Amino acid sequence: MGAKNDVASKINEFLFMVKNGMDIENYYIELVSELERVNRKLNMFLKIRSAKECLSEIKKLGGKQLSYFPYSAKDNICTEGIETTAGSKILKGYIPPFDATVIEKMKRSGAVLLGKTNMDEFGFGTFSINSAFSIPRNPYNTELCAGGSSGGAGVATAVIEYHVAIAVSTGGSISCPAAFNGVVGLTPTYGSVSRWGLIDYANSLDKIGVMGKYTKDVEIIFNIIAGIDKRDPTTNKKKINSKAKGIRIFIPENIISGCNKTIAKSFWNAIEKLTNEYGIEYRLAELPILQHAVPAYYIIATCEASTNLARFCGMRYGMQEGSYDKYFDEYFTDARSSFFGKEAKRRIILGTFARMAGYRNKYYLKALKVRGMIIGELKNIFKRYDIIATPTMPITAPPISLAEKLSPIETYMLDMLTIPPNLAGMPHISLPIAYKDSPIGMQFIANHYAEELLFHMGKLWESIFKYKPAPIRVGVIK
Amino acid sequence: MSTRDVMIGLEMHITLPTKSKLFCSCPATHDAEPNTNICPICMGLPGSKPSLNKDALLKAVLIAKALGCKINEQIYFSRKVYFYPDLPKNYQITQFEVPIGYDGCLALFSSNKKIGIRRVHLEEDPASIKYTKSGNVLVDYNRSGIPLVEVVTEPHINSSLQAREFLNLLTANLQYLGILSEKGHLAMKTDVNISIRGYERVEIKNISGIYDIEKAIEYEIKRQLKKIKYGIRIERETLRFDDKRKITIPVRRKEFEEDYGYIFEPDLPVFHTNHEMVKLPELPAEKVERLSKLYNVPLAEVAELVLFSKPLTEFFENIAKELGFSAKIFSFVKNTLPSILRENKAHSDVVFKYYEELKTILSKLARGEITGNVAKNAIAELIKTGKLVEIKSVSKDLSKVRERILEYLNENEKIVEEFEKNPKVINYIIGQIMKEFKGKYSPADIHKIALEVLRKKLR
Repeated sequence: MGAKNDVASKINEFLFMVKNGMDIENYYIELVSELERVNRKLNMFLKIRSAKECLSEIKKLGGKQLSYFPYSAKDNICTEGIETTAGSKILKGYIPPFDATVIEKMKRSGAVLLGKTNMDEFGFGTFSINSAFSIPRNPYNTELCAGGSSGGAGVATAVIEYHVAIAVSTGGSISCPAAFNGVVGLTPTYGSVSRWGLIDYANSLDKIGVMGKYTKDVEIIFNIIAGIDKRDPTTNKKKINSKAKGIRIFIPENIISGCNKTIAKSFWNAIEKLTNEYGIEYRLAELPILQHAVPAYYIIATCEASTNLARFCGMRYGMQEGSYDKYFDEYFTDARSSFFGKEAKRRIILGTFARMAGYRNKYYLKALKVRGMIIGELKNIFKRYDIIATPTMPITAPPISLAEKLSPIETYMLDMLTIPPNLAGMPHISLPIAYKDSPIGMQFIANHYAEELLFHMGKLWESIFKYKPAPIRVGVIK
Repeated sequence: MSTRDVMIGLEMHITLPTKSKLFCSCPATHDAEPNTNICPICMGLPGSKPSLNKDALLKAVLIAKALGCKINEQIYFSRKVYFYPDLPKNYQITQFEVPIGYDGCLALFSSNKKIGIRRVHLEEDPASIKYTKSGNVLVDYNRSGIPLVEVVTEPHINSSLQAREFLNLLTANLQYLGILSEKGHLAMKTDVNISIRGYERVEIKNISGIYDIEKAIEYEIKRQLKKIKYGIRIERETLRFDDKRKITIPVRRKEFEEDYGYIFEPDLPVFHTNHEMVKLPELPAEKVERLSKLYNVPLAEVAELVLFSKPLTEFFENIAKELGFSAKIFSFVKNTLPSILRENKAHSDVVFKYYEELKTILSKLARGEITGNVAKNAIAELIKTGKLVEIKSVSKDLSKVRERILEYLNENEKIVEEFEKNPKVINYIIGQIMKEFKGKYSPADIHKIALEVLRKKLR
């Protein structure tokens, strides 16, 4: 194994300082005030808890595993007593009466929730420009996108010196912002982390994952948040033994050819570095079925989303629509028209259409079949290879002004590299591999439940490549 | 038009008697204060996820098996999307492509006609809506998520009478499965599909109670036939039954959209029905046949008791086992006991509470020691006070009876003449004498003596 024993980890660094008597109260007071200042510029948090709130939690916490380590949660993860909007106006003011399982687990391990991170409304987007409240900005260049949909989580992880962000991916919402913000992003196997308390986008695709500065950080958090939860019957647990030697990589040629030149060049440099340093072998071949991944994904995701969003009608929680002197269906329509954003409406219409009688067979059921076929083909690849490698995004972080001009189809197509593993429910990790205007990421995909292999690969990479810190940083201990 | 041309299909929603709701652990009781048995799951709060109650699945499999259905080995759930204030998620978790059971049937006793069962599936109940006098609408989520089994028949029913017979039979089956208590049909809501062969189908939603279902069917058949007679088109539409005026009226169209846009429920995995492990108890049809042979009583008579009440049937079976079969007891349990229970507002289960006392009373009845009336009064007293009053057996010293009959016939000479023409007149005499002696003597003894005296007089 190439990785050294003292693996880089911000969590371990922080725990070491705590153990040696750092002044935690003072640290949090300064951190929160810096964060509030920086957030005015970067919009990564929708809600930052006051130092007082953080400190009172610190007193209650008993857990030692993550003693006082500051983390954030994407705003579609329910937090008891703390406003949770999923980036949507329709949930403005909604305060959940219960914690998501991941939040419970983080609390029990002693971590401190700093706040809720900004995101595309309900996770609908690739650049976080569909947040109902504000647009998170890239800390490497504030004109550029932070990526999406977990854009706030990506920025927070890059900017806050000691931090992990609990984020969510449906079709690439962890990998994309991890790549654009130069951090490590893990999207685990579907079902390995409980979704109890996650406000659904597409339930058969949603995965809670984590972003951190180093692979070791996301590994520590993954081991804390993963596990079977009886409140989420789709959870499961399996352990695949990771191999250390003779790793074989598969690179799908046809989807690499869709990437821009800067991206392709950085990717091949990284692959070359890995082969030179570790003698890892790779094979480049076509994988034609992947061209069907984006359409299949958008059909399944929007079908499920359009049913998930049905419950938001201004009746039981969230925003309410002025006049009650209407039939219920008119009232529901008015509330939904007023408070859903444009992309949410687009996906409701798309998804509703694709599951209507007469279209259901042609779109929804067919897309499910395509998903089955893609899983089958990828499983086949994993009979002969251990890892599939691709760049994370086919482009570098675009300017926000450009992202706003892209058509929906152009935007959807940018998910072509992140959708295949998401559609197949396979774990993948995005690692920083180069820095241009903004960071560039590479993505390793492994077979179901083979997260350990991804951690191994991440550590191999980190022992031969040094990450660059973001130009804007808070919470640094001098 | 023959009755064959009326085609009726029923969709029944049966509330399952589980401890907790279908997808959460809230109690599935029906009498709690409004909105007290609720949680994030049955309120459909964002981030909540359903978990299946396995007991509900087991009970649904029982029902499907009892209705002779083929059972799917693996089942999954679907989302049926429609917007309504009583539906917290604005979709209902139900089953679409692969129900628990399909392709079953239930045979009516009267005609042996088979009513096909199209499907049996499991779903969640919506909340209940209350309309206030002020015009506001209140929603009580206690009912939201209570497990329902939907049973859908083929349109094999041809009349309101057959519908009633089918529903009674279904109710009886559910009783023997332990799904419904005796008054359980109140907890069953039914949608009725009616058409006249060659014309459009009409759906009447949400009727409760067998009586109203009959009335709705009768009204609707008349309405449709009248339209046909005058050449007016029958619209394919959804109606509801106004239970006060006993008529059907159209529902606002938007309230029941046809296209529900079903998708698979992605929060729940595939479940195994394990139906081969599920054992059925003895069902009404088998029971009727077995008891009819055992007691040598016609099927129809046994069916009357068996279909009416499970506790009374089991009570009779036990009594017959101990005392031997008695036609007198059988007819008493079938005809008199239910009215005693009804008059005293008692649940049939009391027959087990007072089993020993009842056995004493019924054995006297069987031996002719007491009259039905005395038995009836004693049982009513027993239910009211919980105590067995001392029952006087009928007197076998019949000299006073003979004396009184002679006297009576001397006072009423005409009766003797009438008896000569019509021997049934004796029953009137027996009635009069019985009344005077207040059940002190058995009707059989009085009959015997009255006959002797009459014959003597006529000689």
